[in-house]
Order: sequence, then C-alpha cells, then structure tokens
Amino acid sequence: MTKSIYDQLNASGTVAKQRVVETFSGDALDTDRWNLAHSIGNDSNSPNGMSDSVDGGWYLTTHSSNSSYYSILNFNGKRQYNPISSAWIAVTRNHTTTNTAHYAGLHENSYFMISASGNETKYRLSTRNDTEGTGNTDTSINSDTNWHTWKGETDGTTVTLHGDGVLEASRTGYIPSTATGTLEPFFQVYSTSGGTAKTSSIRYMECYNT
Amino acid sequence: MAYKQHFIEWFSGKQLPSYWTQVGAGSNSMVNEADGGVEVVASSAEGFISFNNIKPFSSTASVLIGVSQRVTSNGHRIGFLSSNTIDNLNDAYMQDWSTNTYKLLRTGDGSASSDMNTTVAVDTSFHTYKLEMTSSAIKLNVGGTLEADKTSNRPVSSANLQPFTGGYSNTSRTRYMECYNT
Repeated sequence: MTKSIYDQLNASGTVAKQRVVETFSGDALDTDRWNLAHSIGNDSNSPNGMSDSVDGGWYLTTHSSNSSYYSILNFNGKRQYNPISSAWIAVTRNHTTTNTAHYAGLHENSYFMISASGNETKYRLSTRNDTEGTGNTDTSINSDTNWHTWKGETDGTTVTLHGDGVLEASRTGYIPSTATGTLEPFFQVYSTSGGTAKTSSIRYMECYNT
Repeated sequence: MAYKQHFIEWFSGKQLPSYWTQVGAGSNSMVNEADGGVEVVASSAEGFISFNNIKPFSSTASVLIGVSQRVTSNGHRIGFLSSNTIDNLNDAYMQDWSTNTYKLLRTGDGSASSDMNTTVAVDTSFHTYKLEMTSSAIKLNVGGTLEADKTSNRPVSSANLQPFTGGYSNTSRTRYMECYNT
C-alpha cells in the first residue's frame, strides 16, 4: 500500500506546519524557491551552480577582488519560520578555512546558525536577537573542509546545535524572539580578506516549524 | 511494483514554482508569515492554481492531502479537477463556503455534481484534508477522521485528474499538498 509522506512526518490528526525540503540536485538552482544575491556584482562575478560530481550539491563562490564581499541564498524576505519554535537541518561544506565565513540556518536581522568565521579554529553556534545583541558558542568540531550535517533548533528559551548527530552547543542569550520577527532559510559565503575567492557548498536543507 | 506518480509541494520559498498555473481571475503569492504557505486570491468568481490540465492522477486510485485555510468569505476549494473549470465535470474537492454550516465533499461525473456534508463546521482555521479516490467511492478525511464516503456522481474512470487549490471570490491559503496514485 502506498504511504503518504505526510503520515510519516506528522502524528495522526495533526495539522502540519510549514516545512521545506531542498535537495540541491538538478541542472540548476530552483530560482522560484531561492533568491541569490550578492553584496556587489552579479552571478558572473560569483560562480555558482550544481556540482557535476557525486554528492557535490550546489556551490557558491565569492567575488575574488573584494574583501567583506558576500553572496547569500535566501527566500528574498519571505519569512515563514517561527523565531521561537522551529528547526533547520543543513549539509554543508566550507572549501577553505582562512579568511572566509560560512553560514547556514534561519535568519532575518535575528538568527540562529552554524558559522565558520574568519580564522576561528572551531565551528560555532551563532545567534542574534536584533534588539539585544549577538553571541557565539564554540562546538568541538574543528573548522575544516569536510561535509557536515548541522541541525539547529529553538524553543524560544534555548537554541541547540547538533553537528553530525551530536549535541555540540546550546545558547540561551541573544536568541531570536517573537518580537524580533519571523525567519527565512539562508546560506552564505563571505570573503573576509580581499584577493582570493571563497567557496562553500550545500547539498541538503530542511526547515520546519515545530 | 513500479513506483507510481507521487507529488509533494511545501509552498515555501520566494514565489510559487512555475509548474503551477494561476487559473481564472486572481493572483497568488507566498505569505510572509510563519506557517503562511501560499495565498491564492480569487478576485471574482473562480480563481485557483492547478497543473494547467496536465493530469497525472487517477480518478479511481489516488490520494490528495492538503493543509489549507479559508481566509475570507465565500468559498475555498481544494481537490482534484479534470480540467481548468469547476462543477458538472469530472472532479472531487472539499469546499468550505462561509454561508454554509458544514464543510462538504463535492463530486462530479461529467454531467452532474452533488454534495455530501461533513460534520465539521465551516471556519477560517487550517485543516488537513485527505481525499481518497477509489473505484467504488470517494472519501474525505478532515483532521484524520473520515467525514464523507460518497458513491454518487463520481468522476468516470477515464477522466484523469490534476490537483488544485483556491476558491470563489475568496482568499485562501495552502501550506502543504501531496498527491499520489495508489
């Protein structure tokens, strides 16, 4: 008997909340779903696309000639995820560990996300409450160029981050709140020093309200 | 057994995917709210989104699951159509009409349509609707409970179906849809 995906994701009788699953597979990015933006320049300055390799996912490279330059993938301001009751899962890879920033999660002006920033030696859980401030908590996972599975979740009191299935970090301060507004998925790569392009990849992202 | 057609739509992103077509007077957009899904506005008479007459689903062996909400007065409808028009055709859908007492299952066999009431009052909340098309009946579950089991005026077996959601002079929202052949 054919089973529904709905029944596998939701308890009987419950009304499903918003969810999105992106597998980053195909001949091009789904530009109905995703908005790709650059702090300056355009797509031709920032090579991106589906990788023609096994488990390659989608890659995004920054402009090579500018520091503090970023490219970001998001929903162009459509914020359908709850700031105090939601989760995201992302499988990502940072291609370099120096002078780069690699982000994924749910954001607007506030956020909870995985970050590998600048020349930090560890991946971090980074959170921001736009009216209060920003904070970071290190994981035990070294900043590297391997693929990792990250899962962030918030209940409005605590934000947790799992890395490769292990609870790596929790934060209770400076986390998104109802007052700071709803959130959208995002993936971002940032060059913190000019002259060298920086690349990140992503092959899965799932976000859902809980 | 070979895999049969199976479709899932999250209605989450910057805009509606291009494999959906707006039919009739109206518009659609992703809602900028938590759990908002897509909003379909039927500005006058019928307005809905469909596969524009691409019909991969069976009228006698398929399922549609939708999570949707009537937002404004008049009618919200979600289900299967055999064309880009509604009523007196081969179709089956849930209707929540603001002036009715209950949500209902409406089905058509190509020449006539008829209704079967559920016990669920019309409202403006999100609900999970499950429409099961079989060779002997059409069943509508609301919130996991079987609410209508209808044998009259069912689509003919040769009529293939496409999913749709929208309404009649109405605004509605849908945040999930899944369709599959059984």
